[in-house]
Amino acid sequence: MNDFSESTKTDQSKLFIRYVSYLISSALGLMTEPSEYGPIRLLFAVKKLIEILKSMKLEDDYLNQLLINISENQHLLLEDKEFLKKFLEEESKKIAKKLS
Amino acid sequence: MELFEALKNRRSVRFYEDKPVELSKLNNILEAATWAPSAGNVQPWIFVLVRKKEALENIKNFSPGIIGSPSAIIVACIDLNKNHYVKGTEEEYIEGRILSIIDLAMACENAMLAALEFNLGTCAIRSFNRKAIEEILNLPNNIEPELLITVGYPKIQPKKPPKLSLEEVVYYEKYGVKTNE
Repeated sequence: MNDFSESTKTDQSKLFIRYVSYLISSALGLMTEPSEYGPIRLLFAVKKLIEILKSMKLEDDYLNQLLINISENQHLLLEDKEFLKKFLEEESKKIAKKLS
Repeated sequence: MELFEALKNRRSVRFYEDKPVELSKLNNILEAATWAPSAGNVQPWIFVLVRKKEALENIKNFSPGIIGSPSAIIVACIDLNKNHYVKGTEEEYIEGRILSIIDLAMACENAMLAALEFNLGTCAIRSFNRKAIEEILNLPNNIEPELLITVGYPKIQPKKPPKLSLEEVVYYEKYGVKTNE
């Protein structure tokens, strides 16, 4: 169990509040933006969440690798819809395997 | 950089080096923006330049369209009090607002082309939380943010996007006429 100081808790709260601001802004934007923006917004939300967990030392090998995969491919993920689809399918298989 | 070369080489750069952009360069870019054409020379634009790390992070969190970490953000706004028909009918007011946005768009393109002179990349971002940005920047009611321009030294130069050919988008003299003979 982690023993966090008050200042650490405040910093962590700030990280989560920033994360929530991203989610709320995405939700608001997607009401009027092209629907194909949705998948990439969610995937980058995943990236941000893993970064927060990592900063809190709540690490997991699979999540760390997923973060690397997203970071290394983010340019292609943004530009190539087919690549994005295959990426999401592959990661879905990996998660299912890990959880089964 | 020659103008036509700049026009063809501008890309929407999303990933930037972690390197600050000199204020003098940013001011040059902003000056280029102010030389854009404007209907009736009203110049309805206001620009807020953001460079401080904490402020950039705040704006980024409310702007899902910003993926990388730019060194600066130009928040391009229109001043509603400079609407061409500020005292006109509702229909005229809407027309004035459209004119303001057209003017601002031309100013933003000027800025993005000028950035190339300094080997800087830019990206025009519309996916941002307008209400939150108004709050963060302390914008008065008459100043509306319309576009964010991220600025920085490119980490990845995007490839050339497919563009429609002239044959697909140009007609000569009348709609539907594809030759100029």
